[in-house]
Amino acid sequence: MKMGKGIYRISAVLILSLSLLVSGCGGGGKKQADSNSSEQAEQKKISFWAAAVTPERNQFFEEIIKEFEEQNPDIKVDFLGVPGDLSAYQQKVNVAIAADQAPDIMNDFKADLISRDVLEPLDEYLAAWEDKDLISQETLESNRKLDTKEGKLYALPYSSQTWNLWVRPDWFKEAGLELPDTWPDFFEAVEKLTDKSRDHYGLSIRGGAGSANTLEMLMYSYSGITEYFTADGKATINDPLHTEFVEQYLGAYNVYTPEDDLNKGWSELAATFQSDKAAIVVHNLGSASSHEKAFDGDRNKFAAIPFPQSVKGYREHPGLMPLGLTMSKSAEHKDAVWKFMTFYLSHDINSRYSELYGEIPANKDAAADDWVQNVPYMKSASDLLNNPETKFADTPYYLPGYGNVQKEVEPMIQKVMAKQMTAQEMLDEWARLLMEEKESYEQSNS
Amino acid sequence: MNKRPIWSKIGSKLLFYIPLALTMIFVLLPFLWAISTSLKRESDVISSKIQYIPSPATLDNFVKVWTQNNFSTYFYNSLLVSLISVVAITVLSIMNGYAMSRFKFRGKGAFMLVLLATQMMPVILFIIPLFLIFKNLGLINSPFSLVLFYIVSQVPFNTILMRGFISGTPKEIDEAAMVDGAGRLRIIFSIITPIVLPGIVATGAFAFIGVWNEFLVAFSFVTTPDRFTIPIGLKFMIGEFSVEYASLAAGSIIGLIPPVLLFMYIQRYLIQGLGGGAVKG
Amino acid sequence: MAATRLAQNEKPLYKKKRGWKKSDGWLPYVLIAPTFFLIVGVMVFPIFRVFDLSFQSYDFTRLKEAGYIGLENFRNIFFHDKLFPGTVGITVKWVVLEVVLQLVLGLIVALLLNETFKLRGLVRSLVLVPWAVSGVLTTMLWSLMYNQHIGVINDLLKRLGIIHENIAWLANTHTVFGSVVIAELWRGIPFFAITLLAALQSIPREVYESCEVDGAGKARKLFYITLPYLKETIVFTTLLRAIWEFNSIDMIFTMTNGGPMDMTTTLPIYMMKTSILEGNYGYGSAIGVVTFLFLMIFVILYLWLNKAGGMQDE
Repeated sequence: MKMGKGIYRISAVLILSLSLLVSGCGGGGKKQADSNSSEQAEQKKISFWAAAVTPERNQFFEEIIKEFEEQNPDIKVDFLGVPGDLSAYQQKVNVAIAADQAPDIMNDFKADLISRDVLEPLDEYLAAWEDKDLISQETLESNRKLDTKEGKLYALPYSSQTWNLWVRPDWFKEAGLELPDTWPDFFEAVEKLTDKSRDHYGLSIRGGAGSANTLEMLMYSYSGITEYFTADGKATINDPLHTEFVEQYLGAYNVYTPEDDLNKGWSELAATFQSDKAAIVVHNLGSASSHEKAFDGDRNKFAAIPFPQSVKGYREHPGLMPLGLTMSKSAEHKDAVWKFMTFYLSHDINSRYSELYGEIPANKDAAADDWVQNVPYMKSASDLLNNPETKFADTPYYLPGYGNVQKEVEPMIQKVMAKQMTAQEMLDEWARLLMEEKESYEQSNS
Repeated sequence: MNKRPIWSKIGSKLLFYIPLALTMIFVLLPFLWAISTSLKRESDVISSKIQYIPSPATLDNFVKVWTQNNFSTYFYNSLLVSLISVVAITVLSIMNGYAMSRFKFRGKGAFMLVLLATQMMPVILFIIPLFLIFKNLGLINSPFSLVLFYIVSQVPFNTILMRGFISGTPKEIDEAAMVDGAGRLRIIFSIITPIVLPGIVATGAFAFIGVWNEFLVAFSFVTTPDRFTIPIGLKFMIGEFSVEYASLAAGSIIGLIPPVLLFMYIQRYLIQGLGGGAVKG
Repeated sequence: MAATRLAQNEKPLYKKKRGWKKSDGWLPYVLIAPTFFLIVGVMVFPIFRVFDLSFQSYDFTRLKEAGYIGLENFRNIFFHDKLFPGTVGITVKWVVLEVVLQLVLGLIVALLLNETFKLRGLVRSLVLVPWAVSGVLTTMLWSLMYNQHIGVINDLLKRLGIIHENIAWLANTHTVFGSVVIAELWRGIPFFAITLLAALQSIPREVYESCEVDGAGKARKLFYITLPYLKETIVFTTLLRAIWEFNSIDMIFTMTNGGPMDMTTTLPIYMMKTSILEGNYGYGSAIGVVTFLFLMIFVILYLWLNKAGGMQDE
């Protein structure tokens, strides 16, 4: 009996200590929360998560947060920059949202966040803001488009991102070619600049994560089609012009491109370009600072040019991707959050941010800054956006499943590259997925 | 007459040394290549001319990775989480192992199933409900949420191992001790435990390496950089330097050092320890 | 207590046995209680939640349709999902290849390391080290070597005259699966080598000696003594390893993202993409439930073999 008691006692102690471990820490956590709320009067804590952060970007965020906290000693910003692929960031955010612990501020603005009822509308905050006129009207509009029903603003825009080709001017010069302005020129250059014996390729295609997005933007700029859906609801993505383009573009794979393009994501594509393997890659200006570093600022070795003119003769750019800072409904100190957001949009900060990210500032004063006009690739981007001749596609960023459709198409794109599927089959399937998504969206909104 | 034994001797030597050499090459090549890459300049790494011995060799990549990342903080966090988890896992495994090897009881099979059921779904599906549980306990962003989860996920395998080790010890030891008036707990913790010590080192090592390398749960539950563990730091580093292969290699080597050192130190116990359990289990 | 001991002193042998069972009937329950309650506390809700979600439509991008839909998810998985049969095939191929190769090669390595030779301690340590390397790090090390342009594997094979053009190991449809399998073998073989080596060391010398008297050859010794001795270890390790390889995500995902063309998308990777990356938790959970039931067969087999192999105590 005594023996038994001993065991019982010790087991009890063990269980107790384990549960103490749990509840003790639990208590600790709560205590912390309590002390936070008692400190409320002195310091408001807000949290800010940023996606796709590089070391330079992280440093930038830490700097501006320090400046902000110095100006606003009553606010403390908890910053978390998640580097690498977006999937890591999305996973983390999804978990936090499911537990009602979404970060107060996020910089990855997607339609599904609206349909999941995570975000706080910002219209009233904006209306009451004295500097509201400084924010470019186009960016506000493109963000409002994500709420097709009421057109509310769910993210304060900070910039516009443009697509472009990154090219090697030195290679073009050596081969006696002009930088391409039409698609036939483009494909001719791709062919002529390929020299496998030197491990030189005319092109590098993004075949891995993000491939569908790039291909989609290229297709529409090739065809010049601006409507994603016809009046009777048919998707235009499998238009014959797109088939023609895909056959030629993806047909270049492993002929004028490296074999490992098949599963290249952005960073591998950048590595290919920066290690003198490819004459042309497709991306946005966000990679400018990385190229500057890799090529030691030698502008003979990298330049950004707009997508070639469409076969219809005008230049088409994808619809401006909604970009902005969002405020979560669950945020405790919404005024502090808004204060940080407006700080983020102030002339100086917005200018520094956009220069680092290679984007056109949403703050009009910042957009007029010297660097936008002086850096050649920034100027060409800003000219492209401001040119009244430029047409924009009505890219359906508002579909909550828009990104998922692209993810589903990606393996099919690889199949087309590997000649296991025809471009037509792939595009027909893509069209079906898009229409299905649109239908489901319209049903849920009716 | 004389030649045959010599030939067969050489033959059996070759039969031994060739596979051994191949094994060594297979195992060591990734390490050696990572070391070589980490000592190169970034421009030498991406050049089409492949260098085996870096020239010039440089330690810059290590300095860069170490100073840009907060590896010392991550190291401390990892150590804290791992040590607490390993102690708890070991104690619980001994208790379970003893119960399962010494007693017949109703529900033993069911308990075994419960243990194994915890291993049968990818953890990734559990993340959100686990997050809710730990949120209710006030344990989000606390190392103890990780500790609790690691205990639950590592105890099953270690219990099964420990059961084997304890079964390997003769029951007469317990009986003799009981005759001397020892309580059951004394038997478990001061008589059986020393006998199966190598086994305990083995399970401890399994648990340690499992916990030390865990990424998914740590990444999901930790929300501020000051609480990051080493695997999160490494994953973030991949994101940061994905184009910079030399830095990436340097970071990998830094990440490899602790488990490799630990492993080299304990491997002899590991082999002795597992022998008792696995066979007689 | 006093009474028990008295009884034991009087009739030690007989009473001891009875006292053993009688007074300790509840003892094993006390010993396993902490673990049991911890598992219940931490795991029951998540597992229940996965089962619950598997009967629902729950998709972040289609929340308006959320709600219970009976067996619809399962019907879709088995009858309409074009990807599912393929992923099951890939998973089975992956698990069988990994477990069999790890076992066979691990056994060879264990036999080699069990011999006496110079520097054995060092060699053992080095050979077994990959087991301590995490999946993410394995990816980093191997991706560096597989790289089409700057990887050491292409260079070595070219120097040896085996290939003439660089191969994109992880992008080539013929090589990608094998490449991932090899990288996983790299850290899996040591696991088997360790366990089998440990088991080898506990085979009593006398057994071999008596065999040598009979003049048995090396191969005979291996098949008639060593392997039967290792049987239990092998049963034990292969089944646990099978469960782990089945559920392994980290290395495949970081190395190939499941591609190209879903050629490396195993069931758990498919599940992770559906639920975590695309936000379709209902469907993803249903795949998780299918996985669970599938693995349950493994475990029942395991328990059954356990008994058959005489591993059950007493």
